[in-house]
Amino acid sequence: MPWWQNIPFLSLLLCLLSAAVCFVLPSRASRIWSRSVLGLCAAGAALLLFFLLRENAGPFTYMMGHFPAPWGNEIRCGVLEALLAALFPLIMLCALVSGSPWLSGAARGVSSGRESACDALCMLLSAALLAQIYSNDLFTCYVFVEIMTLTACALIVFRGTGKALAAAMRYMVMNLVGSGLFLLGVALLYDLTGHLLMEYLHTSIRALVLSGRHQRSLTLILALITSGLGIKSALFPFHSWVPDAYSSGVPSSNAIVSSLVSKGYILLLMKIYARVFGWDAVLASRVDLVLLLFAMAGMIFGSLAAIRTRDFLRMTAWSSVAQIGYIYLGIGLGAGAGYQAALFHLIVHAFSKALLFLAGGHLQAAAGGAGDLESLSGAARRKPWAGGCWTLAACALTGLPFTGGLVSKLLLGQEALRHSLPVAAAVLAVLALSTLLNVLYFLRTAMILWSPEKSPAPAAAPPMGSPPVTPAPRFPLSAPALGLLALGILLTFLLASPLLEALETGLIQF
Amino acid sequence: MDLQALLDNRVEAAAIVLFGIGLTTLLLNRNLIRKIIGFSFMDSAVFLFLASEGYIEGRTAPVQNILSARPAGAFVSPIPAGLVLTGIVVSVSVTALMLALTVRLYRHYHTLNLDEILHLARREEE
Amino acid sequence: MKADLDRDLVSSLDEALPEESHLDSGHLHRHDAGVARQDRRLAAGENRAARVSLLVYRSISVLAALAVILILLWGVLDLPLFGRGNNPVENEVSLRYLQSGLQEGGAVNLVANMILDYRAFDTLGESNVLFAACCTVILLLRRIQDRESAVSPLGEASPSALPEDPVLALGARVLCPVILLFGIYIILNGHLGPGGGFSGGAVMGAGLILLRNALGTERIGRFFSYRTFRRAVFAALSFYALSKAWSFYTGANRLPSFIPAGTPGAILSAGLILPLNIAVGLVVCCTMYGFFALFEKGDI
Repeated sequence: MPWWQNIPFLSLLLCLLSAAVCFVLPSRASRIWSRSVLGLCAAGAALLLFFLLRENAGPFTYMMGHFPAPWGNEIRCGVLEALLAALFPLIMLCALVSGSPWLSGAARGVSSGRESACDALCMLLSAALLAQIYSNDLFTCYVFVEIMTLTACALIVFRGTGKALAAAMRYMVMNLVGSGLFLLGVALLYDLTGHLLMEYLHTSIRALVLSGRHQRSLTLILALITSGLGIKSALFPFHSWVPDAYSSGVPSSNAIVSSLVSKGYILLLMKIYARVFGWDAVLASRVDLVLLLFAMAGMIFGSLAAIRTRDFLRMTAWSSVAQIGYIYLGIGLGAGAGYQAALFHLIVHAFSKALLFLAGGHLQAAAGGAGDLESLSGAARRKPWAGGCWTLAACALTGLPFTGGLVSKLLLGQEALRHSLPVAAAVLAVLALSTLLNVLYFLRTAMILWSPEKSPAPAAAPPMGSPPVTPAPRFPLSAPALGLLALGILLTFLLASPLLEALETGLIQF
Repeated sequence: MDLQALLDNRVEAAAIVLFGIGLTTLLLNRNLIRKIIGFSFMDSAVFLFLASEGYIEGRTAPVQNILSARPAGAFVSPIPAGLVLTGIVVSVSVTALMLALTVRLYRHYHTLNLDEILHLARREEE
Repeated sequence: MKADLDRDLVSSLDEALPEESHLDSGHLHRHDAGVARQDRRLAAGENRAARVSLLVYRSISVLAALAVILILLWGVLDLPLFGRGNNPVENEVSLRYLQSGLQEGGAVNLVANMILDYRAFDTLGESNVLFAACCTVILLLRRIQDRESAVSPLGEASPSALPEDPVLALGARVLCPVILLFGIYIILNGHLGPGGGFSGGAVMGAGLILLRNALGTERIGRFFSYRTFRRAVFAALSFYALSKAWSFYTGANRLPSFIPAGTPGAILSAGLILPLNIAVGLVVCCTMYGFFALFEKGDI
């Protein structure tokens, strides 16, 4: 076995180990440690991707222990996994170093122990994300899904304000429902097949489908798993917790929760469709149509809600509902090119939503910590680089040229044309309408942000009642991190064809 | 519905009924403590379900005997036991987290009703 | 109703600040305020509309529960039959666990083989779930400004400083050694019979909680402070991760692992399972005790 095949396992275990290490280190050391581990993981996965592409090797499985597949755990890695495993820690790293991490946004009662605990939680979250990417075992996925749920809750609640607490409670309730449904689905699946590893599950399910037995149970399992993960990844009718949860933390945590955590669940769902059930079984149960409908409804509804709200962060959060709709639209459109479009948009959205929240955090700080749109007027002129990054991210989510968003919309449209006429017409119409709505609210916000200032910068002292405002945090690395994310958005457009090629190879191996 | 199937799979059916009760309590009850109880119900139901999957009549717990090793046919499968163990740990962790959140929310808003809490939170924001 | 809520809001804002300063007398005061306000609300809210809406709410809940149950039953009754020997669960996977578990894993307790050897990665994740919850509860409830070793002067007059109860003190004195010893036995016996790190750790955690209640936080803080807690959790989790990293690495690369297996049935046998059980037991014990301490006083 070539040495580089150890990288996935090493990065996973390194993240888990650093969680424990960060827990005992003092805050400064734990900060440095966690950031460097994230960088190392990203670099390692990039190296892995390089080797996979150079040797033109197929996907490989890696035994987690001394026992081969149906008995022991295993992880599996192909081009797609390596690509995502390089991007996710990178985005997380950017989010952590750039946006006023735990220090400034944190409310009263910060003690240094809290910071180390938070770094430990971030390491656990990245381990869980890596596990969702690599794991080839359904039950391992469930365990790490729970780690993601808990750590994301900690990130949401970190600020400790009443609003954050309430948001975290709503988030937890919905996510626990999701976990419960998912776990029941896994338990039923185990009852039907006696396996937990994906390949073996697939073989058993195939045999069941061919023999025509237990069809009702299979449909129920598919529904349980889809709705469980749909709730957790904020698919449209289950999105009620999103606007609060994505807008009540500090910028870093908002960025991480909105751009990475939901992606982990979506990836897991795609994996289950592709590797466990097989796309034929999914088609046979008409789940794809349901996903299409929900996705399209979410695209419209999320954008409408974003237009209606006057709160800067909530608007960004609502736009997530719409963007998650795009990803599910791709999944609903079908296994090959639809998946490709979904994954492409997943990457674009991870970059741009993180950038949107981080740059938005800087803009808010420039405006004195205000939350509603009107008081942000002129903020971008005070911090042009943050304003520029925000605008770029908004362009990407709208789908303007020179950003990856255009490519994913084109891909989605193209794939829709291969379907029957009503489906294609509906998808194209919804795509056009949703783009229009995106333009509406992003353009409005951008105009407010860039508008010439009416009054000089707001008085230094905020009003008495408001929570303590960020004391103009200085983060030397924050501009490079935002720049990196912005570069990512541009590169998804400029390097779209090699990226798509890699995704295609990855999907063949998936 | 098929009554015979219901009788044959009565343990699973009981687990499912519990699961449904827990799920709706978690979702629809407004009291935070009751929500947590609902969550515990739901998880316990899944454990009951998992345990019943592994059960086979006439077999014992999978602990070997050193002096006279018994054949594999004497034991039930160890996998459901392991899965239930994992599930219990997860459930304990989540319950602790939910209770901690509830404590903080009660200290802040002096109520356990989620509707009221959300209402107050919205007001606080304005 | 509106005025009521306004008053609530004012009172909660008033208390928002002292909340973080942890005067423990404030605790009682707040509680009283809460009760008084609840009475007020009961008096004001006992009107018809509220009762009707509650009724509607409840009936919707019942209907939803019935719907969920029926949908699930519809699918579940299609499953393989309960308790039969030829179910799909009885396949080559569990057969190997049962047949060769004793030789391959070395533990007499075949479940311990499965969770700590065959499928150890799941269990590693599982102890980290506990760790994640513990970190989050610390974030939510830990209140003192990180004076690690000592209990703050305010804390000594803590709510648990009840007049020492002779029954509790004597009972704890008698029971605690037995409970802790029993917990240790369960952990160390985990590969030889029913037991293991999770159950043993929970028993030990319960013993520590009893001890804390009987001795008071100050005396238990002398040997179990927040610093000890952090170090114990760190030691256990990092040992777990490192030893499993070694065994995954050697397993996947087909290298010899150099870990002696021992004879099955002896106390020092089953390779890594015994040390892992101890590590898991430590994590579980610390977390259980930590949860209790954080809930009770906001510090460990």
